[in-house]
Amino acid sequence: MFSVALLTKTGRVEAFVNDHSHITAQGNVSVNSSSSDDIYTFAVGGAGADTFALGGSIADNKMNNITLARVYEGAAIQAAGTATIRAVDDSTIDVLAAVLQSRESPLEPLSQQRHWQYHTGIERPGCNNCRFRNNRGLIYVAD
Amino acid sequence: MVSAGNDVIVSALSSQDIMSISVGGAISDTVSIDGSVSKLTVNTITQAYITGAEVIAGGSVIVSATGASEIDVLAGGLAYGDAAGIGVFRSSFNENGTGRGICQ
Repeated sequence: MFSVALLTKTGRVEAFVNDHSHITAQGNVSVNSSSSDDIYTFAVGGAGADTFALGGSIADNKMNNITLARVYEGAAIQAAGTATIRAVDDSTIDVLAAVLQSRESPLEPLSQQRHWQYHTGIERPGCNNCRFRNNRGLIYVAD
Repeated sequence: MVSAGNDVIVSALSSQDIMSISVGGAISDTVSIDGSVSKLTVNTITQAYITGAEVIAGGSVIVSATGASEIDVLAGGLAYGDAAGIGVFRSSFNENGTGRGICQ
């Protein structure tokens, strides 16, 4: 079982006062920008077989955030209180990529072998009286 | 022109809560091959701005842009084989979002 999780996050958070803008405030003037991303990625793959088992998992995460707070040249701001320009980016990424594999011995006793026979969509257990030859693989001999 | 006796607030807020789950499984009698792919693309733009405007406020002027997202991605599965089986599972998600608060 191969499990792949691909994540691309692109964000642009922007607060600004453009040119030719005039702001007059008796109180405060604040230009704030904040972005916050919480990303959790889990990629889990597992494989089990009697002879050969192969499993893998890949988690690939890309995050490209732009967080801006600005006052453009040409803007006029008059504040009787405080003028604040603030940009905050608070992001976290948690990634888990795991794999489970199980392989049984190719030389198990015959009684350990399992076999199912499928017929017209119905699962029917077979091989009640069958024989198996175990030679690095399961070879069905008779039913 | 914007004139207010109290505060002037220009605010933009975007919030995403995304969960993507792709699960596959295969069981067969001989060889079992299974694949699970989860692809997630998120592109957001959040803007709050004042452009070319005259703003007069008796109180405060606040220009605020906030973007928040929570993304959970799960891709998993199990393959077991005594004989032969093939299973493929794929999940793809794309989101593009724009949020704006403008005073013009």
